[in-house]
Amino acid sequence: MNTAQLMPHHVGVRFAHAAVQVIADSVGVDLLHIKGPAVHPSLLQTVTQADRAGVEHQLAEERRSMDADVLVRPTHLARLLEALHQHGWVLKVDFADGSAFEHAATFGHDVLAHLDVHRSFPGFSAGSEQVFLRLWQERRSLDIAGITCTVPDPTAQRLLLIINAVRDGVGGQPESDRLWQSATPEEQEALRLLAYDLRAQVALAAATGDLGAHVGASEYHLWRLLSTGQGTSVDLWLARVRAQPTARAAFREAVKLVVPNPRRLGVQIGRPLTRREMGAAWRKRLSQGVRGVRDLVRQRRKRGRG
Amino acid sequence: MSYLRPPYLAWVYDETAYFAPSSLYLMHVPDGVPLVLTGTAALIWLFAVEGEDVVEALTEVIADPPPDLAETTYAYLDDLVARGLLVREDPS
Repeated sequence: MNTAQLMPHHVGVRFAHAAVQVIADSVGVDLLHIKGPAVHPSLLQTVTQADRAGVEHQLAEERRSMDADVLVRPTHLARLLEALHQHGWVLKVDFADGSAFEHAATFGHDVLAHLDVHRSFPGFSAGSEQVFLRLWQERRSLDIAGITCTVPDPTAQRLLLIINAVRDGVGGQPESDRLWQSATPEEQEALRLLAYDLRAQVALAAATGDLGAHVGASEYHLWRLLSTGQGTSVDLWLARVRAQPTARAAFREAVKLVVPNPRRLGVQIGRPLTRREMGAAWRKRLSQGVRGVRDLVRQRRKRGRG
Repeated sequence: MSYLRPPYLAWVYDETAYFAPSSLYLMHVPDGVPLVLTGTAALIWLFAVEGEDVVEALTEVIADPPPDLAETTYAYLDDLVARGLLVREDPS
């Protein structure tokens, strides 16, 4: 066995952060490290641990991450992807084949942990370039594995983590609650202002229990469903379509969500789909779509009568 | 003689395994191969990049230092420099 095989995963994650920063610097790419070892110590959960003498201490619990995550300036994305390729990183999951938000791609390496390259961040409805610029303006430096890496400021980090936890539904609620409730009133106000500036108010409200104030917002249903885990896959499909800013984007989203993505399904099951499985996926999507539209029409008729 | 960590040499000192010796992981990023130093080897590297007198620092932490500690330590430091894991700091 070689060192790479014996290396603890968290070391591989740190080295991945370090490697991508050096690569980015070499080609003039702006990026921000997020989550995992990039998180500001003030945002970490504290745990009580006794030392060997039995004395208890409050320690910040390190966030363990499966991957190294970076948010790249959208206009620098192509340059970064080319540079990653030159340094042996291999595309594992493309943007269109990961989450339904199509916000990140995953890259693998022979000896390092996977790298998630984010071109946008779900929950922020302002343009991805605008979001990045705002976070970049307030960036800080953080040493990860001995390499100086750029990270968002603590307010932005807290907002990103809260919204990321909301996407996990009920399972993410303890984390989003902790992050929100541990903030001072001034920090909470700063979060609200940043969310307003980057059009992330609805996503933030889903974490703070204020979603009711955004009932008319196009993203309201989407973040209600994501944060509660309620609703069917068709409900979520309709909510994603409704959340789109333009009719054209809504149409594209509708088509994308109806047509099965064989690569995404393959990622989910860990192998390419067989032809039979692909046919079954089509039939399931189409029947869900028909049932969903039928149910939606019935609901609207009931509301109309009431 | 003082030493520096080379630029682009990433490092992580892992103390997470409670009963295992702490390990120092090193890697020239972005394209190097990860290496691991354990025990005294790791301490020598850490003391060196922290600007300590390495032999003196080792003498303080090793329970029963061998008589040839200085000789073997300097030889190991030379080896670390030769492998690109340390850089000698130019006194000028």
